[in-house]
Amino acid sequence: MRALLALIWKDLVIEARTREIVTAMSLVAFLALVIFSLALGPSPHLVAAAAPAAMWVTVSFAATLGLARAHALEQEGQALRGLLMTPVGRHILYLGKCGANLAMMLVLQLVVAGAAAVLFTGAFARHWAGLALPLALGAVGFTAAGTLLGAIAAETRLREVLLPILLLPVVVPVIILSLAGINAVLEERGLPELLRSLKLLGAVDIIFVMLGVWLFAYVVED
Amino acid sequence: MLLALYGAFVFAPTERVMGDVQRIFYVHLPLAWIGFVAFGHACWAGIQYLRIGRREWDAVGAAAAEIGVLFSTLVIVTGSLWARPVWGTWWTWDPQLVTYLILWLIYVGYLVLRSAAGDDPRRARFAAVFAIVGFVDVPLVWLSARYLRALSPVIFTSHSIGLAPPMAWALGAGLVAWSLFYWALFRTRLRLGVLEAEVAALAGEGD
Amino acid sequence: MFAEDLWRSHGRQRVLRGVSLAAPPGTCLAILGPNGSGKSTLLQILGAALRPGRGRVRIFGEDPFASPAARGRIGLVGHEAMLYGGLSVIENLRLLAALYGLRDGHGRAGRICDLLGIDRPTTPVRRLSRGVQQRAALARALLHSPAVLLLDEPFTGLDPRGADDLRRILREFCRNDWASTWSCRGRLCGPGTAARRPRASSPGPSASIPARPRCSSPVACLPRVR
Repeated sequence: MRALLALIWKDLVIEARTREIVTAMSLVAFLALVIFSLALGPSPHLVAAAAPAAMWVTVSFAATLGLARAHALEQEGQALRGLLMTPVGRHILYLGKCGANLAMMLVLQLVVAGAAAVLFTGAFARHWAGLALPLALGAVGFTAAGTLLGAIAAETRLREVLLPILLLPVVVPVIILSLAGINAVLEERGLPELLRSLKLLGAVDIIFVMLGVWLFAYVVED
Repeated sequence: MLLALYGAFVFAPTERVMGDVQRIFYVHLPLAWIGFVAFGHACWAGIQYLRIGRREWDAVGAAAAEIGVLFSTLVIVTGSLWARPVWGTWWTWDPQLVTYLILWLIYVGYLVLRSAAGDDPRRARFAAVFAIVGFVDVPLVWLSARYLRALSPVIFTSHSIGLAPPMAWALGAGLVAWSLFYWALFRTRLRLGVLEAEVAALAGEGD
Repeated sequence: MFAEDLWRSHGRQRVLRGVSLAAPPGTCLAILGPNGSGKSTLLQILGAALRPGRGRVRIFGEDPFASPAARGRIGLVGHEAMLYGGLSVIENLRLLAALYGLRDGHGRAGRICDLLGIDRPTTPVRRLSRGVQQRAALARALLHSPAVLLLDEPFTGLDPRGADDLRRILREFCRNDWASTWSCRGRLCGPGTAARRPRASSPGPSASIPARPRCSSPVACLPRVR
């Protein structure tokens, strides 16, 4: 739909102009990854095993920052209220915001995966391509919940600080299943294994998106 | 109600299997169940609030969550106290424990949200939405943790407890007793919440 | 436009209590009142930007909260611009045109900017002066040719030329039989217009004398006509 595309385009253009969200997220994630890698440095065995976990930890925190910032943009000048006054359905607003957030998170994951491949070496670098699906599906679930909860957090006193508190416990199933998929790829456990975890992850994603579509209207209308 | 509670404790001593420590189980399990149901209560209140919009439903949600967090904290504490002598460790990554920890974190998140969200009706709306999201999330956490356990059985331990019939009775009695306890606390807290809302309404009137 | 028994609280404070009003097509109505009397809240509720705690709003017989079509016929200018600071005026307008389902969003956006004298439509809104932002907000409200226009202290921040432009536009607007204009101002009307009440100069089929909204209690938050 035209409206949906216009909404996604809006966020991406704003981001492309300033590049502040993606840059900040990527830097934070990269720094955290470097620290991880330094901390685990002495034992190469640990390093290889820890790579996926380190990656998701850094991505989670960085993405939470980015989501909080993305929602702060809607508050500036009450821009979101202008959108609410249009005839457009609230679920379109949700999906539009979600889509834009997803795009940014995928970029973040790309950067972090690349950095992890360099810093952590080993199996990570070899199976680069296979990691795309678990990571992408993980990002979908993360942003689905994050867009809904980010809209809540942005309107509270604590703003950015509240979002990790709300989002991270909720998003645990997504992270667990995504890690399961990643490990299935890295440890070469075969396709059926990978597909099973991906199916579960996809189901969780769908549940989160449905929750978001349903509840976003309540969050956003004053 | 207190009688029922005492009855659960006194009755239990007639069963000794793992030693006295195991008796915590009679408290731990009902608490765990009720802690989970309390959140379902809060979620239900959230749905009703969003549908009907009456402030009372928000008070229900708040009351359920506060009592629920109390019960959940006790669950984790009693669980640790039980685990230490039995397994030799304070914590393991068993799916039940993981799920419960996440439930507890979501509870805490709910309460933090309530305190940070400002005033009604916004606070009530946000709390309702989060209660719904959180409650739907908990089974997902449990399922994904179980999936992970199925993949690597070495890492996780499991506790299976055989239940002889008399123990089951004690458990049932404990369940009933603690449910009544929850209900009593809940009613009190709800009355407090409703009174608070009325005071607020009156304060608003008087200008 | 029709509103009945509107109530709204902000936290513990009752801002609106049982406010009702009716504006048949072609009316030009002003709401006057001191600061803090709830004018902005009332306008936001009428414009479907805020939900009433109690009460109903009807635009052409439909509830704007339930009916997207009704929402598409309202234009609201509030205290804030309701535009994206990172986009330019033209981009904001094009986005809104897509959301309102308008054809030729490009062309309309350009024409509205010309109409309102916005001379730098490609600068991000964040970097525009207050006066130009106010014009941009007006552009946003007028873009979809609303049938009902709600303006909250619209003359603030406008220079004399801008104020004249706005008055001209409001006159045009009121001349259409099916349009109602609400203008809501505090004590100040904007530079150069202190002595006049602009809204009274736009005659519609009905009287241009401001109708006082019926409040349930005279002490209520709302507009007292001075």
